[in-house]
Amino acid sequence: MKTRRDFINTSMMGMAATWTLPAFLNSTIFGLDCHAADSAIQVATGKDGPILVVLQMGGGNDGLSMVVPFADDAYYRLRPQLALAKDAVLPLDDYAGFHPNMTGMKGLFDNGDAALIHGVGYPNPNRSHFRSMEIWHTASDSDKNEHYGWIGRYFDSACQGQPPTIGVNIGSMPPQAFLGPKPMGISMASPGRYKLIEPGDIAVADARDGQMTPMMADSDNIAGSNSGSSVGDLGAAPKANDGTSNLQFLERTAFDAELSSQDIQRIVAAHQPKTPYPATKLGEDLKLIGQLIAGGLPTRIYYANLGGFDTHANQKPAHDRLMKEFSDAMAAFVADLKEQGNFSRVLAMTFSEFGRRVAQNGSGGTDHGAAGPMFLVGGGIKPGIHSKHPSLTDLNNGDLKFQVDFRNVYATVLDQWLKVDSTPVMKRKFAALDLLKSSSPA
Amino acid sequence: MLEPLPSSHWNEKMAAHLLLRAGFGATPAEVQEWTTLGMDASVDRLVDWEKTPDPTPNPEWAKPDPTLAQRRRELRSLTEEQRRIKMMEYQREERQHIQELKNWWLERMWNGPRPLQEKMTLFWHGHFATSVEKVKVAFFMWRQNDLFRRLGNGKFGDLLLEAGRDPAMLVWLDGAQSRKAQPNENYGRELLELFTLGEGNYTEDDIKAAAASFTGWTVNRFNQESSFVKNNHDDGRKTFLGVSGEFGDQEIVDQILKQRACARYMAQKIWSFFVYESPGPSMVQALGDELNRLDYELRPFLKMMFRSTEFYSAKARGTQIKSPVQWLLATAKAVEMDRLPGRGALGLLTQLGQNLLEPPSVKGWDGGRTWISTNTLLLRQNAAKLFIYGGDAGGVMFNRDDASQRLAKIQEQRKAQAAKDGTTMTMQDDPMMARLERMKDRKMQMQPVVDSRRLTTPDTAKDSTALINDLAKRFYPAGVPATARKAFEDYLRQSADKPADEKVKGLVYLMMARPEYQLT
Repeated sequence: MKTRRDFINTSMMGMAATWTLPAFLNSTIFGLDCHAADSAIQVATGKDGPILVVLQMGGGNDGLSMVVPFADDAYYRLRPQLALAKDAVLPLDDYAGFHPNMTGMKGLFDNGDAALIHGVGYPNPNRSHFRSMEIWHTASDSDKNEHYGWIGRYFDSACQGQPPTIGVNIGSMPPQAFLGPKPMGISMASPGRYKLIEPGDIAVADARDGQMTPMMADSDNIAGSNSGSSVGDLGAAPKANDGTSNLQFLERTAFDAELSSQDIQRIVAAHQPKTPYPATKLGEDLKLIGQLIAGGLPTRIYYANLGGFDTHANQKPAHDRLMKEFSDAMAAFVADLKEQGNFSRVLAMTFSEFGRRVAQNGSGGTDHGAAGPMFLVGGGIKPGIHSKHPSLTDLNNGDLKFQVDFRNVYATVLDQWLKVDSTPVMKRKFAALDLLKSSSPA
Repeated sequence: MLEPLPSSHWNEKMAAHLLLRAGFGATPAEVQEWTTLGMDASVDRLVDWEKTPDPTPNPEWAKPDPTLAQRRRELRSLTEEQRRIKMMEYQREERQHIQELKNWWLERMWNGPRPLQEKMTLFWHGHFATSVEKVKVAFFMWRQNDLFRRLGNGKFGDLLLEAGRDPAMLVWLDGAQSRKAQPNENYGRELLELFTLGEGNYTEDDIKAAAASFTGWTVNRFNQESSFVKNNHDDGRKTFLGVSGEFGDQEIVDQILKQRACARYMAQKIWSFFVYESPGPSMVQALGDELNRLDYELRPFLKMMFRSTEFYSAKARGTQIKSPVQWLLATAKAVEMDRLPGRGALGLLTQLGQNLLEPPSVKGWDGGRTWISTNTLLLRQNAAKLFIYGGDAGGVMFNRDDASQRLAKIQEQRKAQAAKDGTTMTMQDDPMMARLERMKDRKMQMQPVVDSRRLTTPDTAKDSTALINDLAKRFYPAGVPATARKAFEDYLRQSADKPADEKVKGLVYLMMARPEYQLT
């Protein structure tokens, strides 16, 4: 069995040694007592073990425009301009159907690859983006403040001694969900720049880095232009209560960055998907995750974010596009995983910090609400619809009442998919729901 | 209250530390100058910043727009189509001003004659964190920035009162819409939770009482000043933090300042920003007592802090994680850049997580370790490399993914508008879209902004120890950690055969790419 130190040494050998790296890394690594513990680890796990992909829909997704209660008169009454026509939605049963742009998701649903949970939320919902996001990330009660994220607590309790890529966040800063007493996981905005560039090296940019226009950097990067992303990209990193100095923390992050960038560059270069992905942000992100899965990165949890859901005004065009982006990317991801033979070991889970008001507002949009739908996609799910749609007339301050507490979903995923005891991670017992096949994962 | 540093301990490293923390870094010549000046005079010069002349002009648009009323009248006489085009023009102009404002401030921080004034302004911007994303008016943001600059070393109570009446704040936390009949609690809540007391030191009823007391303050959109509308003010009796009266905003501020929790909260926050994070409970207690004793007068508090032995202790020196602004400007000082790296500097700050005037939330930037992820650390290293060697700045100085998202959004808006108007708008008809199309495939090639020949002399470069010491004065002016020095020596041993200029560049890069360089 390999030890952490063996792992580090062998990985070091494989690195392209440039003049910066030996000096830079050697001294970095030897200063790393906190990280280089001699614990046994799994090296490049390859095709074993379950994988969870968390997809965050930042800004508050309008669940009623995603899963449309077309048989409910109240829906048409409360949404005179925004309601989607009954004959346009893609029916799931005699009450609700998908947004017309969600043909990809409809295919997955019909094929038994996707499950839907209506009306997921939590008691005493908070309508602030930040607070509600924090609640979903930390899985705390809405009146309690918890610093660490549920994924961070999972890493802490079940993944000690694992390589940094145990958690991979596609984005610049780790989500609060990743925060733990001993922070683990890496953040990567884009693989093209996720490595130390060499002097004069301008040929490193990959396709997604290579095509966009430079002038956006300055004069257009300004007020009002990034409304969705500013709430979607909530970053949070550890506080200094893990017993390490700031220098140790920096050394470890530098080390994690180096090590993971080497692995990721190698994998991304070697594994091109055989099936197409849409050329959207989420399409690119899921494609990258697909490549990393194909390459056997020993990752338990991937985290991706689709922003722009804060649709207070003129909602329709923006939300229509987001539905298409989400659905097309997810369908492409599933096709890729099936082609790879990895579909049975991947579970994708979507969430948003809240749904939106049942009644539309005066600006052709919707304001912050409460409960919303969650999707589970993967080879191990029990397909179909897993709860009752919340009433559109029996409301809580104009918002849907939640049918399912998201923490029961998390607990189910922890207990039955990641196969760890959810109680210490969730800090109390949340009953598991009947969402997954008992034999899963492969 | 804290022991001052004995003057015999004052030296170049201490002066450099002071200039890094109470400013944004220093060139070797500046370190020399301030070392000679001595600690007391240095601290006075920094804190009593009014005594240093500052001729920097304000942006020429930084005043209420006298044509605003007329512009609005004109808009009314236009057709819908004309109005739409005019509005887009105004928005473009406003965006341009916001961009100018960010650069104006960044230049002040970098090269202005009053470093601490700008550092305090940055502190207050993070404290009363207001984002132009919602405020949208460049003049309001400049005004708030100017408020922090004017009152930044004065009495905290004065600043607090003015911050509540500030137009940008009134828009940002909805005070402008808050009326007697329907008080908005947004400002009241953040005032107590984030701006003064901290959680656990007030109740929900206190928030309601504060909100009611602030009603009446609003922004006059015509003269762009804040104004008090008596009819909108709730002049009834309120109970706030245990006392009752017919309160307005002044009484609420006065009552807050009487809370020991406020003095402790503010002292702790200032200390964490300038000295080190998480001072212990007894330190917080002592600092809070001192701030209270000084009646929240910041000038003597800052002087006490910057003179204290604790400020110059090993616990403080070289232990703070550089914010992106600190990283960029300390680097620009260290290498004596002629100019900041174009407009890309702001793009880099955004990429690194500190988009000036657009903090992520009213909580401001968490700072410290939250600046650092595997991604941002690699970005810092790659930015250093770009500064030295030049290259394609895409993905470093700006985010192409974000750009593509924004492009999609603009395209969608244009299409929706065209559909609404019943016109068929091609991309070429729209100047902005046409510009985007033209720029689409171009790479953003950046020239080096570091001239390595200016950083040392050819003679010095011949001797490893001398070269390391010479460059370390720039990049590690408060001292080189032993681990880093070892790496520099190893590198020079391995690079003995390289041409001198290449060797120097390589060492400069290594100095900036080290984990230790992220600390200050």
